[in-house]
Amino acid sequence: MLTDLSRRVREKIADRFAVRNLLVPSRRREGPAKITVSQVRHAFRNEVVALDDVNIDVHHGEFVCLLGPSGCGKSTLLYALAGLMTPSGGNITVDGVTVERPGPDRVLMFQEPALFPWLTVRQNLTFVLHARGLTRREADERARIFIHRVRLDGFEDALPHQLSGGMRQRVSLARALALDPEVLLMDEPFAALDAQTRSAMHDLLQSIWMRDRKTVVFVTHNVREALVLGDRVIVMAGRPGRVLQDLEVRLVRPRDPDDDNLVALSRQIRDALTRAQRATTPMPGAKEPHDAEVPGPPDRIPSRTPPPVGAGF
Amino acid sequence: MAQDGRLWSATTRSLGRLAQGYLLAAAIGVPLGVLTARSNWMKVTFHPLVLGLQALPSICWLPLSILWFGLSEQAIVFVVVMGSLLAITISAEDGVASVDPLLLRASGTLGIRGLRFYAGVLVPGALPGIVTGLKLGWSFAWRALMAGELLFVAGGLGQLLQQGREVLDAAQVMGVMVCIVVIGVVVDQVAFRIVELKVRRRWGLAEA
Repeated sequence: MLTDLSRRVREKIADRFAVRNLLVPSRRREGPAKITVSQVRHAFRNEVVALDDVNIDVHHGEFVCLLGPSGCGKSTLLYALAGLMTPSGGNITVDGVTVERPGPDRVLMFQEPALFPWLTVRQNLTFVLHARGLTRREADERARIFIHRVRLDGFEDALPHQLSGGMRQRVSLARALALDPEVLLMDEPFAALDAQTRSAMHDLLQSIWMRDRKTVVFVTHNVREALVLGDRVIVMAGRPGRVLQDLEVRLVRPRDPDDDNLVALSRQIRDALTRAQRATTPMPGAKEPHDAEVPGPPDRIPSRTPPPVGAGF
Repeated sequence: MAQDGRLWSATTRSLGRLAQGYLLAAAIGVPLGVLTARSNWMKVTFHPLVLGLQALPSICWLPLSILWFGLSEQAIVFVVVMGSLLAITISAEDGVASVDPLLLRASGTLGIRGLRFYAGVLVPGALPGIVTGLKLGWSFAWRALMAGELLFVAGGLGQLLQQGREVLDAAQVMGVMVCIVVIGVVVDQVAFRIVELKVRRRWGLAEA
């Protein structure tokens, strides 16, 4: 009996350590970074500091999740990466070139599908491919491949409003991938979907990513989503927006959102976020965070400033 | 009147003028509206001008038109153009302004710029508004044409109407009036309605 107990204690300790080792502070990597964010700060006109001295290096082929409550500046940072807005200080480079305006080397996927409503699924893809200079035949072929990759065969001639929300977001993903961008930027692309569809999208994105190993920067406020998808999870906190932790996720892929280790890690991150929030807010919210959502006061600064209409072209 | 071919020739004459004036107005008005919506400079200088001139009934252009073009075909076409141009411009401008800003941002990040952006995103995005403007422009053009023809003798349905009054033939007057109404209704309710519905369905704005 005593040996049994000691074995159980040992197992428990081992488990603890196992979980610890699955989430470690990410190390500095050798070689030039794909994306360099250095000393970026941004203040809105109402003097809310959205970003304060943010430094991030993203390397080629990394899947990085920016995680944080609303108002922590994660979307602002992503829009700056896309070139849709210019931060008030600091520098962002992709492959050594300073980001100044939006471009197809850094395709941004929005929370909404942003499809052209008057074009069919296939035309939505071929239209942007033509803009990149592909011939009709090349564009058709490429559209076919990517529509197949997001498993929408048979819906090529459907119009966006005839599809479900998840299907539309898949078209949007196919369109972004078909452009073969150097960097794929994603702004909570699955936040508007129901839980089942979202988890199907996670599987799809994981399988596509494992095949292409694109550099991805993915913004989310959902801890589990970040852990399922990311190689690295950069935890951000608001007021002022800053990087709290930069963690490397060492779970094997493909990942299951209900995996025990993943659930334990998500609790760990959530606790860290709650502590950070308590430290910055004079009146800590008494409410316990529910689900896997990041605790964030609802009455805060809006999480994203839409850049002026048509900014950059 | 219908038998001796006067009605027929007057109708074709009127419709010919209308087509000239209206197509010209559409060709100028749509690009003008798109540009006004897209450029700040145009918005500041042009927008108040267009809004102000819209308060002017189109027939008030006739005296100026006659001074410029003389008692000619161009004079009446000019009145038709001025009658519908402003409505088309304003609607095109509104149409562009109401294009989903998300689509504009997405176009930027997808690398769509220049002419492709205007022709492939902005104009199709604004098309529901543009079609509404064209429909409105058409009815303005039709009114302007009739007023012009009534005042200034040059053949056409308006003149036929005026002739009816001069020879005290109420039947002719009423006949021509019915004819004007029928043409207006057919174009407005049939041709434009079909196009408008098609666009709205394709754009997902109306149930299929």
